[in-house]
Amino acid sequence: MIFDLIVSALILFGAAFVLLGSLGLAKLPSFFMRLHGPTKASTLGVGSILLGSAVYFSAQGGLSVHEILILIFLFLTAPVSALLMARAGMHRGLKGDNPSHEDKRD
Amino acid sequence: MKRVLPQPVLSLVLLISWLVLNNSIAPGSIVMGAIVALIVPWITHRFWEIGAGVKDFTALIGYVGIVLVDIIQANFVVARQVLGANRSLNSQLFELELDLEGALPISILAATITLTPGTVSCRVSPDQRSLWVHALHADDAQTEITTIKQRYEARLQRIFGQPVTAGATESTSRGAES
Repeated sequence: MIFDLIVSALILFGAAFVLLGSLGLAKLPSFFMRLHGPTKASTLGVGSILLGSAVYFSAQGGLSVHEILILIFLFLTAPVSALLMARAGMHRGLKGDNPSHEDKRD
Repeated sequence: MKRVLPQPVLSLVLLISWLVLNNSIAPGSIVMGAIVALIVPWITHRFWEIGAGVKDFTALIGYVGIVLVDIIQANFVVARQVLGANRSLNSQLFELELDLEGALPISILAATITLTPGTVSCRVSPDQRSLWVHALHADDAQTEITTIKQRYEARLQRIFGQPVTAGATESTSRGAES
């Protein structure tokens, strides 16, 4: 029962942050600003969901630690993809400031 | 010894990852893991830059702790900024002069910047002397730079046994905490 509560809380919390990450991707006005949504909100979001999974399967009997490994790899690779996108953005000369006051071309 | 185990730490990490991946410490898994831990470094050691080794493991553990706490905080900060009025966000690109040396330490710093409060590292200059960072919201680029240098760069310099240059005053006062 207590495990169910912990697992539900973790998964709900995680799902909320994944949603926020996607929302940021859709809502923020420029390329560089959009990078922030998926690189952060989703790391904690996916992290919580994975932790929930680890707790759930550990409580079922038998320690489950795969998820920790996924989490580590996620934290290692997320910055790399973000860096590649940001580099491409800089290479194309995209502006880093907030374009809200101008048109939303990029 | 050097030929069999060119990188003992990498081998250990591989063995542990293998066991975690298999979720078991049965003898069979250990043997398989040991084979992986021996073969992979032997194949890949040419690609690795030798030299940048961790000198201070306690500082490294402290660093991981600080970064994890910052990641959680960063998520709430970014969540608020995403949900709030995007119009008021003062986002900007700025250049951070690096005092840290070596590909591995700089990569760790860049990854840390991307994972923590409202900042994404964008580009390391070809001479590895500076790092471009984009902040989702920063009132003043200089304050942001000082924070990154004191909070992360100074600690990484200590971890990799390099002379600590940035924010020496703050890092000594925070020494006990890390």
